[in-house]
Amino acid sequence: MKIDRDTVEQFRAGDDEAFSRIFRSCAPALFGTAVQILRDRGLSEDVVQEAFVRFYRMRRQLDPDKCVGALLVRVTANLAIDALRKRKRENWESLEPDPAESIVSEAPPIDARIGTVDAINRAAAALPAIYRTVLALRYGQEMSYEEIADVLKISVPAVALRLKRAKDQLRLALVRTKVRGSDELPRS
Amino acid sequence: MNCQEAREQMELRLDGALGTTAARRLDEHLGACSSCGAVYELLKAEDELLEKAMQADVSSAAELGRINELVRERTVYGRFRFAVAWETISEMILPLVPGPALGTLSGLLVLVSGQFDGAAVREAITRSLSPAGGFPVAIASALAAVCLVLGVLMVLPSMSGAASLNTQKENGHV
Repeated sequence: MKIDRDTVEQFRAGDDEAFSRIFRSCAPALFGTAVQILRDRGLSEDVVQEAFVRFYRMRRQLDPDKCVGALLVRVTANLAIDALRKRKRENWESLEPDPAESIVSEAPPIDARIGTVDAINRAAAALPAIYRTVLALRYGQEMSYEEIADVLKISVPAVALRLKRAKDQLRLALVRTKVRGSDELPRS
Repeated sequence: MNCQEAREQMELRLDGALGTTAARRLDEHLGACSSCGAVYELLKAEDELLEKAMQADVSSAAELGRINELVRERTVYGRFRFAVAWETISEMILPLVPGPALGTLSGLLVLVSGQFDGAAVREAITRSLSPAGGFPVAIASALAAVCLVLGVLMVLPSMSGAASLNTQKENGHV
């Protein structure tokens, strides 16, 4: 998520129009990430709102030479994860990957025949929270392993393993959907 | 590098998590091994599909509008309302402040000058205010002085907020 240096400097100096520009350019993607993590649009609205309010309050500490957009993503992701943990509907920790597991996937890569935007998002939404989160941060926000590790408070190798497991589950879910779809086709 | 090692590193490479040397060795292998090259291309295509799907805009104008309104309410508008509220309060209170504030100040001077006698302080405060004063007046004057100090601390940021909002209004941004 890129915010240009001039906009950051104007925002730091108290220009509310610069804040509006940042909101317009970043809010849709941040909302998308929150929805992918939380699967709850109302709660995602709250999370994005809170992220922007916190971002506004820390404006004087922003460094225009650093990636300010990444900070906004990190604030949003942390708030979404906190909301998820508070909700306690899903057991977050018991789904930790086994560190001894190989990072080579057994499932075939997703191709364009089964991996439409809708199909991928539907399948991702059905995954456990820790997998939805890592996919949203890696592919939705293009965060590096280090940045994801920082947000999730896990090690970089653990990010690689979690991402691998998330993709495996996503691939298998899409293959299963495809197989079910084929089974439902009328037979001639 | 063998094919197993190459397979282990392909996704790390696509995720930008592979070091320069390892990436170069992988490239050499991919150039020499057509089956690994084909797998790498499939993984690359998958990455693009995932990015496209996960970056698709799922927000609606209504949802973003609600978020925007609440964010502004808690930041820009909030600051503006604070400025207006302070302006109203200061118009009512500030004219009353000088007398009690002077009383409190003289009381504080007594304290600072080494006379730590409560009766002397009270006497100094009340004498400076009104002959018919007493404790209620002393308390009122102390409160007024606190208001004055808070007012000075508060009025500067709120004035800058109001000024900023006025500029925005003039520019048609709000």
